[in-house]
Amino acid sequence: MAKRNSKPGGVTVDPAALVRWIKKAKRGDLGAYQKIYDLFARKVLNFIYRMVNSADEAEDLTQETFIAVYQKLESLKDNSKFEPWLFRIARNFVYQKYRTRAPATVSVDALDDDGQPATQLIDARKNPDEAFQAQELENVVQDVINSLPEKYREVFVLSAIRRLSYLEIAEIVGRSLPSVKTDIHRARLEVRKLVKDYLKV
Amino acid sequence: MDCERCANDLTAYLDGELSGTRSLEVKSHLEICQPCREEYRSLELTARFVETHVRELQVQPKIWNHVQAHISVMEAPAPSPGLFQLLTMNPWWSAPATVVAAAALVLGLWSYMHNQAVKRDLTQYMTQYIQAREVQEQAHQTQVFNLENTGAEADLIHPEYADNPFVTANSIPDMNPFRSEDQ
Repeated sequence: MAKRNSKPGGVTVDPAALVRWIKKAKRGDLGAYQKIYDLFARKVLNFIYRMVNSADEAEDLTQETFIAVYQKLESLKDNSKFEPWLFRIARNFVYQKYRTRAPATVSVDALDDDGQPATQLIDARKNPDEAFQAQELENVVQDVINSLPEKYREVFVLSAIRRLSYLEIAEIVGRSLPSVKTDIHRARLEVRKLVKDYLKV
Repeated sequence: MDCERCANDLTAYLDGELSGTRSLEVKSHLEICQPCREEYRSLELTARFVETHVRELQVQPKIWNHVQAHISVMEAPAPSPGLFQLLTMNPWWSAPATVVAAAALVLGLWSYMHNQAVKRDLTQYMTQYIQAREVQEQAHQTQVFNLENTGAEADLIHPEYADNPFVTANSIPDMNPFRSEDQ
């Protein structure tokens, strides 16, 4: 089994370039910070989205996360640990906002004033039947993720969808590597149980 | 490797998170164990199903615009406080400072106006003095002119002493030491 090196989102991370941009951003170079943002914004947005299940709130929290990251960038000692550090800040914002209540259960397909989906989703499918079926399956996956216990949900999202390494996930959630490994495995078993019927299809 | 241990490692194996040796152990076990192979296959299908159908949001430009705007505001240099702001920013000394500033302003204004009045009086006095001197000078010139042209000694007597019988033109001593009797 080959280790998965590519990260979702179609953006390849060049560690040396990233470290250069971080150093520049620490000196107040907003252009360099924008490059960092372009690299990670989609990952952070979708991580938060899966945690809160609301596109609008995910956008707000992504915005707050990147403002806070810029403010705290000077405190980042090891520039090579930027990604776990970034996700840790994003996670903190999620828990600050939603510690006292369950994640939103409203559908992201709610229509806006023009009768169009309020959330712009990535969907290159043209065939209406395919699009409908795909949307149904997306709803299934989204519901499965939302139904996971919080402890499993974040490690599942970070591993299965964001494809961060177990070590990075352990740094983000602040738990030991064996504990994270066990939770990821249990989360996968839970997800398998919930999507079992669709796998047969 | 037994089936239980293999099952616990299957997700990490799938994610490429096992060490080289452990990964080889799992791989070897899967080659000889049909149930574990099926378990692995179902986990792999689950992962693929989620990856295929997970919903991804697009990043809207407004997010960066807001971030950039916020950062720009944070980095804008604070304007240097003016006198009014300094006074209002430091309430403990603002009241006495205001009184002192107002007193200095009043004193300065009074001093300026007083100097202007003195200057005006001096100018007026000097103008009058110059005019009087000019009149005296003109009178003296007239007197000298008359003396030179008529030789009348009486004109040398000041009009104030004209009626005084003890005053004569000769009684005015000539104090010039360089002038002889002949001259």
